Amino acid sequence: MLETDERLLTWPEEGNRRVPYAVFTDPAIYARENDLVFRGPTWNFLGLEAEIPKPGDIKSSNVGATPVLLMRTADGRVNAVVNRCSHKGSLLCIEPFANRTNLTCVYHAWSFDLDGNLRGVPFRNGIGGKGGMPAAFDPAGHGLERLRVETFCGLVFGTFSAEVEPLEAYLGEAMAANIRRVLDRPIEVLGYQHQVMHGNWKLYMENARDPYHATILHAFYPTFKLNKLNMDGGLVLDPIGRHAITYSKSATDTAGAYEGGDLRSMISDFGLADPSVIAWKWERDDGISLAVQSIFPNFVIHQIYNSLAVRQIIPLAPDKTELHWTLFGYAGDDDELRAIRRLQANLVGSAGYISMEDGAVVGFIQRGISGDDTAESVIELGGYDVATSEGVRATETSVRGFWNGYRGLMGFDR
Amino acid sequence: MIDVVTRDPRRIIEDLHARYVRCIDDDRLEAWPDLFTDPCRYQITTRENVTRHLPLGLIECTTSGMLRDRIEALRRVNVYEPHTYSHHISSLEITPHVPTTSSCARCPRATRRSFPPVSTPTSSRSTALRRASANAS
Repeated sequence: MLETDERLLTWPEEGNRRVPYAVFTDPAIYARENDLVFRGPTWNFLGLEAEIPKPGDIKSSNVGATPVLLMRTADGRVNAVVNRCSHKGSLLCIEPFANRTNLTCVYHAWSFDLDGNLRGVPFRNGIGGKGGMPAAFDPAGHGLERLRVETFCGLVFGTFSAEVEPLEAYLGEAMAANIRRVLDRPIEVLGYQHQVMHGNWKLYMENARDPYHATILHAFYPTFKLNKLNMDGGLVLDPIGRHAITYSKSATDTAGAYEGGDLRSMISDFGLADPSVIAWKWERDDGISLAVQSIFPNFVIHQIYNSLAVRQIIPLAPDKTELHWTLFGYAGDDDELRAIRRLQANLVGSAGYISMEDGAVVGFIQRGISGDDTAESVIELGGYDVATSEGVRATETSVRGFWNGYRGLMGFDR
Repeated sequence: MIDVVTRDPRRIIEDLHARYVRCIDDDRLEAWPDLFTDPCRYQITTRENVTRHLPLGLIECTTSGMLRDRIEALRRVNVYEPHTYSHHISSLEITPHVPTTSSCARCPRATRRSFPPVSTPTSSRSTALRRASANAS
């Protein structure tokens, strides 16, 4: 951890409504985030229980830059260890998914059980009494680094922190409620997408919780009346503001705001030749047609009509981020719902009618902010506060909330 | 375009594929849906999804209308990094068809061919130059 109190940044005195662009470009800030955010007192999404159903199932994941393995043990528990041999540091599992009874390093064949205990060291006793490990070598002191792991509604989160509160308390009541709502029945993974975005990870996490851009950048939303700011909806934040849900109710659309204005996004003469891609059906009676939820620092879960997915961000460099999409449905889906989810997959992901633009704009920002260490973004829609906003989505309060949580962890109070 | 003299399926498929990549590389996208039947099956997915028998990918169109909608949306609705394509077609393999749930049961043959596209952002002059020199060589 940090040896010194070296000040990497002085935050603007305006607080959460200004963000210095240096946080998206400075390699020193990026390195410190790995310690203070991803390896700090946060819960990071690792994967779904549904991805590791059988004993020995393994999924390769990440917490920030750190490679992590998510595993199902022989007795059915969920474990996570750093994917790094305790001998020389090689990856222990190089596949995205595997099924193993133990983890054996390819380099010198040190092997570990799925609890991370060191079980085998080849030539530990040397050959013919010569060589080998010193008598003092104790395998118990050379196990794999283990993460604290907790699951919630089939989502698996891990943390390096011994201090962070239990997962459900970290999520808070409002966040837990929407996760329960979306994951109220057994799920089935339907497909994966991985994309590299040419921008900082925080630009994407800002984007995923920002209702201001959603119906302006994504012309597909208002053009087909799938999501408009004049529909009933809102923003739900946890008390710090680091987690957020933006939701809308399509049945409550009212005229105004978009029509007759100069928004590129309301294209009145564009119609789909085959509208089956936006055909959908209600799955709940709460009227919520769209809910996109971000959990700090690396996780998003969405219900966009009948499209369901979780998203995980993995920072690769200050200006490069990988985004993993896991599209899912429910195990009990009938043929009609399966067909609907399949066509609605066209809305999301790297080539999605809606989501393609998020990856693009992250890259546009990263290029736009290059070359100036002093400029900052302006986040003032809806005022200066960080608070749940029922009924009003013409606000950036959820984006300010992200920065409130981030600054607290990074020591950027000023 | 069909080789009516020989009715050689290889020639017909070669012509179809050549027209296909020209539509995209020359930005005549509006002509691209005409190369499909209606209904059709156009899917872009990943090797991982195919290997793991997962049905969802990146793009899936099952009618000519859906293909046209993709083009119209790219022209008028969606925002993305402007780019151009240059496809390089691999050798064509024609094999006896083994029907699967996801393929046309009536087709007597299946074809396999790689179409790796080189995508060039129009903002990237260095990449565009590389393409120009490749064309010249």
